[in-house]
Amino acid sequence: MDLIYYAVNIAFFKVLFLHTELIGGWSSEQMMVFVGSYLLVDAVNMTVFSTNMWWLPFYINRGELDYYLTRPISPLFFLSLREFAANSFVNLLVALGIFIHAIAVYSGPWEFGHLVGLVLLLVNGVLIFYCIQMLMIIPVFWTQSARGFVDLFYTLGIAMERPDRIYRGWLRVFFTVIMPFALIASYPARIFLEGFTPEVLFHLTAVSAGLWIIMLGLWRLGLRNYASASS
Amino acid sequence: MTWWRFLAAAELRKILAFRADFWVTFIGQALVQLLIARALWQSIFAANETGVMNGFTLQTMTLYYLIVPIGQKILTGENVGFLSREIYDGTFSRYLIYPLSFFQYKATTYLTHSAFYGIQLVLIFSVYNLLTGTTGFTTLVPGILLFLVAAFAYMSIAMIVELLALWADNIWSLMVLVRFFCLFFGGGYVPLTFFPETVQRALVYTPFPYLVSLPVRTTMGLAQTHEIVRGSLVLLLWALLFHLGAQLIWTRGQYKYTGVGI
Amino acid sequence: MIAVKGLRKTFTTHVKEPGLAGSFKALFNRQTVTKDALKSIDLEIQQGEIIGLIGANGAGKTTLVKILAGIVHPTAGEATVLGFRPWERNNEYRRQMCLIMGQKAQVWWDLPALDSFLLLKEIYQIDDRLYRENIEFLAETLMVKDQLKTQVRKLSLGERMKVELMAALLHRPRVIFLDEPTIGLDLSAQKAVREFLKKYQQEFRPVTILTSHYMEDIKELCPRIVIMKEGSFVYDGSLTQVQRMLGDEKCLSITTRESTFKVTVPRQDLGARTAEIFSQNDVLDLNIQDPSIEDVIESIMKNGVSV
Repeated sequence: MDLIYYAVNIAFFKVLFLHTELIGGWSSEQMMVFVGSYLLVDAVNMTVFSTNMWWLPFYINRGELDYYLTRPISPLFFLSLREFAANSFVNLLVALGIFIHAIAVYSGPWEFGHLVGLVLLLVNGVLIFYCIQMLMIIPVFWTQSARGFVDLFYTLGIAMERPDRIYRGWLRVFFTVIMPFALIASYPARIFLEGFTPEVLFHLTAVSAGLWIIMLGLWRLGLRNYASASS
Repeated sequence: MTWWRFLAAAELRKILAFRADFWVTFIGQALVQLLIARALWQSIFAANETGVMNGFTLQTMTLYYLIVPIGQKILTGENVGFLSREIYDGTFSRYLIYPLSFFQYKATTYLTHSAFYGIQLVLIFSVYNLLTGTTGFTTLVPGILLFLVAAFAYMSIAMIVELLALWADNIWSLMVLVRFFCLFFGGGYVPLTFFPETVQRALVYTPFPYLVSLPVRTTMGLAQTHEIVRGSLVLLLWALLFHLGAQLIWTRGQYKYTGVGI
Repeated sequence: MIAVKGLRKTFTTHVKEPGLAGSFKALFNRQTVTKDALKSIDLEIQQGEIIGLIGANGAGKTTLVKILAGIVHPTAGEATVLGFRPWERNNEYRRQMCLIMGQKAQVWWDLPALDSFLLLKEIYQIDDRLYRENIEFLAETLMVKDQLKTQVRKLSLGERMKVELMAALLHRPRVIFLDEPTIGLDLSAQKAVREFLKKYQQEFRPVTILTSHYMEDIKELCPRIVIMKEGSFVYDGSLTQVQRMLGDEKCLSITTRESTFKVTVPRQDLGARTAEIFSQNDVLDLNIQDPSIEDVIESIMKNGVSV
């Protein structure tokens, strides 16, 4: 059923490539490697995090976090990985299939090391995705309802489904540093398609680490606020 | 029967209750979609070194993607789960107790959201017009009207899917897919003129172009009068059909409802 | 007023083994279990009567109430309330009925109670005079006058329940279904709700079905009780009579050095059992009583009726 989702994503670029040779510097074939990459990240997120992330704001909002705070385990860890969406696992296989197919038919030059780099960076991409998602959820601690932020997150998620070279000026700064959606799949795909460059690697490491630290800090602040607000 | 006015007013108050939330949702989403789409098309226009592609300039394309996200909001009214979540947690029981049809109740709250976004469309379209002075306002009225009919049609589709929650637990992903599907084949991601000829011709027989493309193009002033008239009739027909479908599902599904969670 | 005959309800649920492996299995091979929530129920209730529906969790109380309120369709059998079949959800019926669930809010969470009331006024088409009168009466009796302009989500649990009651009774229903109205409330709030319900019942004489886990609720409000066990009625009769069901038994409270415990024994065995207990334990104190209503009901819920 979720096949429709994948079909639409691929069809979107196929339709565009009817009218142009290159998008964001990539050919149709290269684009498919990128599409496979972000679909894979999305599928992993759907399987591992999505259910938990969906419920988290409700827990916080209704004061049901207490129960998790009393457990001898990191609440963030527990709440993020509590439920596993088994029915999304099939999607994971499909996404993996698309990814492998795209690489198998890719006719340009590539090295095995770059593929390993790509896969590792996609794992990092999943974590970035998770971090940004948490950043959108954490405001619930203060605002009562985070639906707006969460919806915004899903919209911003489109940014990761476009090649990063189309972003220019401050939009580029926004999507590569502030809300680094471009680092989730587009940068990793560049490693595979164009080889390692120190700048890209440095950028990836610095932003990922920064994002992680900020997220953890805000989560702690939120918890403190929660503890002082609930009676 | 004035209950629906009270209900709509209450719903409006609910929408506006979380003000920060609302503005973040609304302006944020529309802006983000616009900016990403514009960046994409800018790069495509640049790569092809051309000013016009399939009837669109970069500027009309920008306007297109300014209207699409708001139009999407008008169509999708209440959030995904507006029935299924309530069925899941038992809140749904409330409509079965009140002496009114739950279709009327839900349609009222749903279309309140739609109408509310309709007003946003008027505002944003006006600002755009004042800034660029490109299109007139005369196309706005038929555009909004078409959007509202489309919202009713889409709501009926959504109800059909959401009511499936009476049989299955997880409707959410299916609903998201339906949204995707309608939007893609409605021209919400890429204008329909970019689709292959055969696909375009086939789509005429589906409800999708009338849900998205037609209202957007009508608002922009790109649609011909006869196209608008004919399209509205087709859209109305589809709306009726989907509505009957939702009714049918409900007649069947009510036996399944257990009111769990209460 | 309420007539139920041979009412049955069977639920089909999917089962899933715990853990990831279970989830996978469920993807391909969904297993279902059917459960009889109600097994052929008969019930008659007259105008002005209030009955207490008692039973352990899962005994079928809530299911019965949901069917009579028109939320759930029965699998078989007949029921009429005020001459209507509830699950046909005739508007005429729904305008004379209300369902109050202690576990579930029905007033709009994000709005002040008064806003909800105004909306309900329109939904139920309550005329202005009755509306004003009712608000006055209900707010006065429940003592929530000052809370009506506050967002419901900001009210305390007790206040919220009172507001729920107000919302449900605004249209002065002739049939009232009360599902655990005092659940989770503190003692004083429980008492307030009970007092209110008593007063309301005396004043307006509706038909009321009350389910509760608190014996206090039942003892205070319900002259007639129905005890349910696994989807069937095991007792339907007056509250005071229920004591006679086990009239042949005596309750012994024994305190020993180690503990205090209770045993229920048949009257004719009293001497023998007491002697036995004395011989086996180092008894500090012994008390012989007739079983209390709570004990009797608990015993019926556990063992069924031993007539």
